[in-house]
Amino acid sequence: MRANIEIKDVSKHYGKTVVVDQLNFKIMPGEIFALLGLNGAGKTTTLKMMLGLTIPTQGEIRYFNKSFHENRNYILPRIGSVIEHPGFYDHLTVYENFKLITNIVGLHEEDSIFDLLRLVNLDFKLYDKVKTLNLQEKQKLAIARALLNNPLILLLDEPFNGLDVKSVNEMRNILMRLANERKVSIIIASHVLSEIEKIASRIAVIHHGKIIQIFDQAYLKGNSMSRTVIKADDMKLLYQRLKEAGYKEFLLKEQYIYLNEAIQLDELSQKLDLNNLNIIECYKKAITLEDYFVELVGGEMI
Amino acid sequence: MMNLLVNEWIKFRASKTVVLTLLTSICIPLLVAFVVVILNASTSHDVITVDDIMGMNLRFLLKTIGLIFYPYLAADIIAREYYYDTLKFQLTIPISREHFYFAKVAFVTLVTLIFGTIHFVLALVSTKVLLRTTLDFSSTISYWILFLKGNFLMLPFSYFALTLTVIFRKKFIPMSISITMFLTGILFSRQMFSHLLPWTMPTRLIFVDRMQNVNFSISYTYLTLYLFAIISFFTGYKHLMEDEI
Repeated sequence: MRANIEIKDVSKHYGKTVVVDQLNFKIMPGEIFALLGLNGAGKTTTLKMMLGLTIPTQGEIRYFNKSFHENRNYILPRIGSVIEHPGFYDHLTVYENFKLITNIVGLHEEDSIFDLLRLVNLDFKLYDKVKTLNLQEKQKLAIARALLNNPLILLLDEPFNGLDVKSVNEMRNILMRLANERKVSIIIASHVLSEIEKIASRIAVIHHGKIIQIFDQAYLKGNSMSRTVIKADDMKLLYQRLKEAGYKEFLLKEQYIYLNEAIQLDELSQKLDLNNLNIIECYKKAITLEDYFVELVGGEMI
Repeated sequence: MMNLLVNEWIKFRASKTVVLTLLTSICIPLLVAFVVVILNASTSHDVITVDDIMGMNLRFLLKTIGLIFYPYLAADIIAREYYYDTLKFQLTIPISREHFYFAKVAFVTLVTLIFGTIHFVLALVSTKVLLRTTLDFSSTISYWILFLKGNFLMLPFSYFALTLTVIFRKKFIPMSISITMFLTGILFSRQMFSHLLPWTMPTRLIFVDRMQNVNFSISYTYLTLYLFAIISFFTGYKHLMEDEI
């Protein structure tokens, strides 16, 4: 199958500062791809480059097997986006804000606008001024606006910001339906790891502008993602004994040591010198996306 | 392009700026009328002519609306896109940056000319009421053209404010710079080299040249002004084309 989006060696430099460094990934139709990263990791810059708001220093962005640089006017009408803040003219009504877009893209506005607002449960706000809406409603409105041109690709920067649990649930269902039924390719840059874990088919962790790992849901649920969590009365001694026993990769988090492999207590007690060391807790844990993300971008490494 | 202008109108008509602009347009002819009534009351032999009233209106227009308000209007039209963070989405619809910029400049020009005309109509009405006289068609047209020319002369300052807003993304800094430049212009308006400074033009026109039979023929000043407009226009354009949004 042909990829909807292809990012090839894309970098962005501001002087000597490298904001995005040699990104490479492909996104297929119907795929929900998440970009995870700390603040300033380069997620928003990546999305801005993908929308032509920022020009890449090097590399190529392709949509539908066409160069974005050479086919902007063909590609952009097929993309819906929410970048950073849900920007609306506060002094205009919801309808007027949408009409400003339909005037340009040439849609039969009335029906499309009403249907989209009904989709995000904001149809009753059609003639309200945007300044009377709260952040959550504005965020939902921004997502509805991104869908106005029936996009084949959705680029969403922090789409769950400011949404309550019910709205997050609604948004998740909408996005999953778009991906499954209409085969829309969706890229989500977000901090809300719990949601990403539920929704994304593939996840890329971006750190200091570089993608450090791309993995899918199966990988996250696989055996390799289990950890052994240990707590002892003397954590320093535990750390020392683990090193002596040949364990190299582990992480200290909230007074627990996370070993990068799943082992039983019996096995541990055989390998470890337990003299003067009292193990309080030891169990196997399937790690969450949040745990794994912290490991990747650098938790409190010992 | 037409759709973009319609969009600009939708944004503009609901803003507070439109009320402010209308109020200013209405207030100035009223103020002039008020001054004329006082003049007539205090100096019995004063003979106020149509030229006097229209000239006062035009000077007020250039001094107040033209110098401060039109640049503010231009700055506001661009600044709100940054303030509401609406520029990004518009560029991805997609509206090209060229069209976005040209639409803004065209809209500023249109609004300036429309409000100049409103101001002219009100000035004409006040003249009629005060002097109980009617102007013939050709005089009316020549006064109207005069008002439009006056407004055209103010456009470079609007473009300058627009360009500064594209650069600074806020209207406070452009307005501060514009006002400082006008004040500096007043200081230098009687100097020989004042023809070269666009900012001295309004003061020269009002106080030094005395509008020279309201003749707006091309002189060094106007050439400087048009050059100033062209430089402002292209600086703003170039900046927006290369700007990281």
